[in-house]
Amino acid sequence: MKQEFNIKLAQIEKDEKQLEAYRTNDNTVVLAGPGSGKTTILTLKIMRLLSEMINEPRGIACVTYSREAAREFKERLIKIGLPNRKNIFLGTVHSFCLAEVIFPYSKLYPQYNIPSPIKLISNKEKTSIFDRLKTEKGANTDILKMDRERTRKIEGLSKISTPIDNIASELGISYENELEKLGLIDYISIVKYATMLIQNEEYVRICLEAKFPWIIIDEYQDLGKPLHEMVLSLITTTKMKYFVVGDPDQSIYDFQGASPEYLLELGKDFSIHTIILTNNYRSAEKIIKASEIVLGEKRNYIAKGPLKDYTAKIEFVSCECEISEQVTEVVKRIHVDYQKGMPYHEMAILCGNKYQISDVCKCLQENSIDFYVSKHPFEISDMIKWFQKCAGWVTEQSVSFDEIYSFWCRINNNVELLIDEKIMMLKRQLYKVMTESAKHQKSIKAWILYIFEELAIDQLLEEIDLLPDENDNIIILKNSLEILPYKEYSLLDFYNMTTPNNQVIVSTRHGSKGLEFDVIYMIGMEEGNFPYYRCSESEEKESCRICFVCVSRARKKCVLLYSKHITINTKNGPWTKDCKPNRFWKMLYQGRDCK
Amino acid sequence: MQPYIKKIQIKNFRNFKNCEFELKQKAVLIGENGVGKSNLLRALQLILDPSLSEEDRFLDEGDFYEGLVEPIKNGEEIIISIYIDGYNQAKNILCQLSDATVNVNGRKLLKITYKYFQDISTNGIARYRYIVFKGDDENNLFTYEDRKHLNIKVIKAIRDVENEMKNSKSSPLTKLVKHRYIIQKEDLEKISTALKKSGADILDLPEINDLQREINNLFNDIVSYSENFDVTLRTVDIDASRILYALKPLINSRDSYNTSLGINNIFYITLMLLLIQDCVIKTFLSIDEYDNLCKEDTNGTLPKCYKKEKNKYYLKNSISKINRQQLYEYMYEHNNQPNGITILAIEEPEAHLHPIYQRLLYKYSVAESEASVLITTHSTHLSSVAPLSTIVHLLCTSNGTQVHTTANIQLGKDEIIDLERYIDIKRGEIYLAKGIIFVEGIGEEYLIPQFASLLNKDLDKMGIIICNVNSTNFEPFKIFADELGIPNAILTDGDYYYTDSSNNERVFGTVSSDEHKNFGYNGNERMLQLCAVLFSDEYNQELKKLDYSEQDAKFEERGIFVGAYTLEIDIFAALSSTADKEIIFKIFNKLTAGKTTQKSNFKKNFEAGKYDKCLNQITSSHSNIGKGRFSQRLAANCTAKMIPDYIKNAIEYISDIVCEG
Repeated sequence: MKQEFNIKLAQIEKDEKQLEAYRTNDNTVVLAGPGSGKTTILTLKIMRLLSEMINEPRGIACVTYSREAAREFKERLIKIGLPNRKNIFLGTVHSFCLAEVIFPYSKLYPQYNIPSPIKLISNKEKTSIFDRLKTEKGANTDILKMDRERTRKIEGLSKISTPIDNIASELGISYENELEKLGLIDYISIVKYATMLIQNEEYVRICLEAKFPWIIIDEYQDLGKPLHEMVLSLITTTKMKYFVVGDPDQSIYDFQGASPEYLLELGKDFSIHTIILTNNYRSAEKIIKASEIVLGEKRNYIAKGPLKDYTAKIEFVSCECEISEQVTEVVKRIHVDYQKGMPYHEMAILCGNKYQISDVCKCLQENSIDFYVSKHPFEISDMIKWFQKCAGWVTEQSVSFDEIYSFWCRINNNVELLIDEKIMMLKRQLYKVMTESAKHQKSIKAWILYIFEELAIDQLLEEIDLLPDENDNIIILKNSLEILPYKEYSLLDFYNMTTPNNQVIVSTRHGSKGLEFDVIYMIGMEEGNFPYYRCSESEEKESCRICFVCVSRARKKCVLLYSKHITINTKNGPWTKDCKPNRFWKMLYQGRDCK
Repeated sequence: MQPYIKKIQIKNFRNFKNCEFELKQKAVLIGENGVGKSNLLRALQLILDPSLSEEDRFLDEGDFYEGLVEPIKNGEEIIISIYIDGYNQAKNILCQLSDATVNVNGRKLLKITYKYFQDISTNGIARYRYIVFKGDDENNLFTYEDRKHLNIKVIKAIRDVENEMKNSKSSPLTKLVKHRYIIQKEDLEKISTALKKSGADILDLPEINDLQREINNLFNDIVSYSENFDVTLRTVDIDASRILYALKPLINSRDSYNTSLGINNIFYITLMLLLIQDCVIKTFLSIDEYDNLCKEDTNGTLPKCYKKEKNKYYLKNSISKINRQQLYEYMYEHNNQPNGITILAIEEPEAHLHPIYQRLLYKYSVAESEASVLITTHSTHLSSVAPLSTIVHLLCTSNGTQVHTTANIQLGKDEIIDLERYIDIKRGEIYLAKGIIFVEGIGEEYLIPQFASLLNKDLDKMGIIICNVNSTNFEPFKIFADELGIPNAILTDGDYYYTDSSNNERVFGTVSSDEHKNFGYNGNERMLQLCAVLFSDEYNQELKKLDYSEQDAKFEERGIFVGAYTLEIDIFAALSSTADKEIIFKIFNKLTAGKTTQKSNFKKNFEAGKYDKCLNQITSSHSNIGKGRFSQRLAANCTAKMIPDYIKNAIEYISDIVCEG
C-alpha cells in the first residue's frame, strides 16, 4: 500500500466507528453526518476490499451522485494507490446503467424494446416534445415534475410511498410513448430500463454479481427510487454485498425524486449493520449546534476536529434594502477577514438563485475581489473536461498523454474499427495536433478554434449518439469565449478554470453540498424567499435540510443576512415588499446564547 | 461441472468448408487420418490457446479450405466461432466474458469468434488480418487477458513426455506445486540444510506429501487393473531456491525416466488432469491460511470439511454433498483464485498404451474429471468405452470434412445403454465404418461378405461393415448411424405369414400358398413402423398406398431392403431351378446327424419347393445343425446364384454410396 493510504488509515484508526465501517464485511449502511470523514472511509474501504476480498478479474462498482463527484473520487483513489484493474466501475447511476446493464444486455432481451443503437434525446428535442404534449393535454406541469413522477413509478420491493402528481404522471406516460416511437431514450428511461432488466432477468443479475461482488454507493439519499429498487433487487437475489454511505438529513433533491426515506429503509429493513458516524471533524462546536437547530432535529453530533474548541460565531446582519446591500455588507466582512490572513477561497457566499449569484458577482467585481463561480454558462461535461486536460498537457501540467488519448480513442470508437495501425495513426495525429497547438497557448479562444479545426470535432460529435447536447454545449462554450472572463483566459487559466485559486466562492445553496469553508455567508434569508412562500409541506421540510447543509459547510463562522425591503419584478412592474427575517434566522437568533 | 465448448462453427478453414456441430462436456473425436482432427483442435487453439504467438494466429493462403480457388484474390474469409456453456457458476468467466453473451434458442451462451479477413484501407490497398472477438461485436476483442481465464491446453500426439518432465520450466510437476501451494521459504531452507547434511533426497513437506497423495490416487485409478504403483517425489537439487524446480517423480522407486513409455505417458496425462482440476477447494491448508479463512466462516463450514494433522489442515475424504457445495461457494468468495478454466485436448492418448489402459484412462480419469476434455483418437478401445453422446465423428466428403456429433441424439435411456453395450462388445468398429449394413442375425453376418465378393465388391476394402443387431430393433442403430453421418442400409427378413381363419392367428414359417386367403409380410410391417419414425409424413403416406412389392421398391430408395421369408428360404428360393442347389444338399448331408431318410427328405422337400420344411430340418434337433453352422459352411461354398435380389440390391446400394463419397 502507498504511504498516502497508511496515513489515512492511521487517521481513521483513532475513531472507533470509522474503523468499524472500514472493517465490516457485512452489508452496511453508514449514516454519515457532516464532516464525519465519509469520503476517507469510502476510499479506504474500496482499497481494502480490492486488496483483501476481491480477486481479479472480479471488481467493484462505485456509484456516486454526480459526474463531478465521480471524477473527484477517482482522483482520490488514484492518489492512495487504486490499482489498474478490470471491472472497476466509478461513475454515476446513469453511466452504470448504460455501461454495465444496457449496453451489454439489452440486445439479449428484445422484448423490452430498448432502442438499439442507444440514442439519447437532446434537451432541445425533449423540451419541444414536452411543450407540445403539455399544450395538447392542457396540463399545468413542468419537465422536472414529469421526470420525478417517471422515476418514482418503478415498482419493486420498497414500501415507501410518495404522493402522486397525477397530471405530471399522465404526461409522463404520453412522453415515454413518444420517446419509444422515435427510438430515443433519455436519462430517466436509461435508469428505468436498467432497473427492469435487473429486476426481471436473472442472467443480468448473476453477471453483475460476478463482475461486482461489492457495490459501493455514496450519497445514497440523493439517488432516488430506481437505484433503490436496483439495489434491493440485487441484494435480495444475489450474493452481492453493498456498502452504502449517506445522510438522510442532507437529502435535498426532492425535485429529482430523491427522498431521505430510501436510505433509512435500506438501513432498517435490509441491512445487518447500520453504523452512525456522529463525530464531526470539520466544524467548531457552535456551528454544529447551529446546524442541528435549523434542521429541527437532535442528532447529537460531537465536535472532534482541530477546531472543536474554537470560538465560532453566528452573525446576524439586517440590511435595509435589497440584496445588493447584503452583498456590500458581505464584501466589508470579507475585507476584514482577508486582512487578518484568511485566504479568499475559505469564504463562500451561498445564494438562493441565479439572480442573486449575478448580483453578488457584479458587486465583487466592482470591489476587485477575485471570485470563483462553480457555475459556468456551459456545462463541465466530459468533453469540456477533456479540453481542459488537453490544455493541461499542452501547458506541461501533470496530465498524462495516455489519459487524454484514451478518451479520444473512446469517442472515436463509434466511427473507426479497432485496428492496430489505425489506433496508432489516431494517436500520432492527436499528438501532433496537441504539440503544435502550443503556439496558441496565450489565448484559449485561438487554441480551441485550432483544436476544433484540426481534429474535426464538430463532425465527430455529429456522429456520436450518446452526446446529443454536446454540440449545443460547445456552441455555448465558443460564445462564452467572446465574453469576460473567458475571453482573457490563457490556456493555463482554462485548465485551472474549475479549481478555485484564492478566490471567494460564489455558489447556490444546493451547490455547496460536499464543500467546506471557514466562513459562509447566507444571503437572502427573508421569510417567503427561503423557504419559498408557495412551497409544499415536503418542500418546506426539505428547506430545513438545505439550510442544515449550508450551515454545516462552515468551520468557524456563519453569517446570515436579510433585507427589510426587497424589490421584485411582477406583471405590473417592480414592487417593493416588506420582509422579515426567515425562520432559520429566528431559530438561530433565539438559540444564539445557549450552549 | 466446468465450462465447455457447446457448439463450434468453422468456415473455410483447412479441411472444413462450412460446418457447425454441437459437443458435450467430454468429446471424443474420431475419424480417419487426414480428415482434420488436429485441424479442428487447431481451430480452437486459434481462439483459446495462450501459448500461440501472434504469428501463429496469423494465417495465410494455405490455411484456406482447399476447395477454394484463389481465396485471397477473392477476398474469402476464415471464420471460427465457439459457444461456451456451463459457465453460470464460474464467476470469473462470467465477469470477464459476459460481454460475449449471445442468445441461442433462448439459451445464453458465450460466443467467441476468430476471423481472418480482408481489410481494405482508405486508399484501396487490401490486406489480410485477423481478429478474435467476443459476442457479435467486432470491436470487443478477446485478448490474452481473457485467455487467462478461459483457455485450451493441447497435448500433442507426438510428445516427448520424458523431456518435458525433465525441463523444470515446462514440467507439469513444477507447475502443479506452484499453482496449488504456497510453500514457505523457511521450510525449504530447513530441508535444504537437512539434505546437505544427510545427503538424502527426502522431501518431507506437508504440501509435497499432499500432492503425492493426490497424484497416487488419480494415477492408480487409471492403472489399477494390474498393480498398484507408488509415486514418490524427490528432488535432485538441494539448493533451497531450486528444490521445487528440480522435482523428480519415482514410480515404484524407479526413476520415471526409466519406466515404460506407456506408464510415463499415463503419468504425464495424470499430472495434466490434476493441473486443470478445479482447485477452488484446496486439499491442503497451512495453519495461517486456515485461520485466515475461518475469520469470515460464520456457518462453520471449514471445521466440517478439514481435519488437523501435524499442525496442517487436510481436506476430509468423506464430505456430504451439501457441505461440499457450501465449502465451494465459501472458498470461491474467500480464497485466492486459482488459474483460469482450462479445456484439455489430448491427441491420441492411446500412444504406447496397452488396450486395457486405454479403456481405464477414459473410464477413470477423463470421464471423472470435472473439466472439459477433448480427445482425438484412432483407438477403438478408447472410443468403445466413451459414452455415445461424446462421439464427434469427422467424415471426409466432397464438400470438405463434415462433422457429426451425437450430442443431441434423441434416444431412450435403455436404447442408449443397448447401443453402448453393442459398441463396446464390437470394440467400436462402427466408428471406423464408411458404410454399414445392419442385419438381424448371424446368418447374414457370415454370408453377406461372401455374397459381396461374388459381386466383385470387397466390403473390407470399402470400409463397409456388417452390423448384426441380433434382433429386428433397427431403430436406435439406424438413428445413431445417421447422426454420425455414416451411410447405411438395413437388411431384414420379409417374414411371410398367413392368418388362420379358424382362430384368426398369424402363422409364420411357411412358404406362401394359394390356400392362404389372408397373408402378409411382418418385415414390411416392421419397416413401415420404422419409416414412420424416421421419414417425412409425405413419404409415409405414399408407402401406405402401395402393395407389397411396390413397397419393397420404395423402401429400397431409403436404404431398407426387405426379403420374402427368411434369409435361408430366400436363398433356397433363388436356387430352385439351378444346378447350384446340389451345393445345399451336400452341405446338409455333411452336417446332419440324421440318416439317409432325413437326407432324402431334405432333397424331396427342396425339389417340392417346401423350403420352410428344409429350414425346419436344419434347425431341428434331429439334424443338430443350427442356422449359424449352416450359414458358416454355406459361406465357404456360396455362389453368385444364391444371392437373393434384395441382398444384392442392398450391397450395390451401400457400395455405390461409399464409393461416391
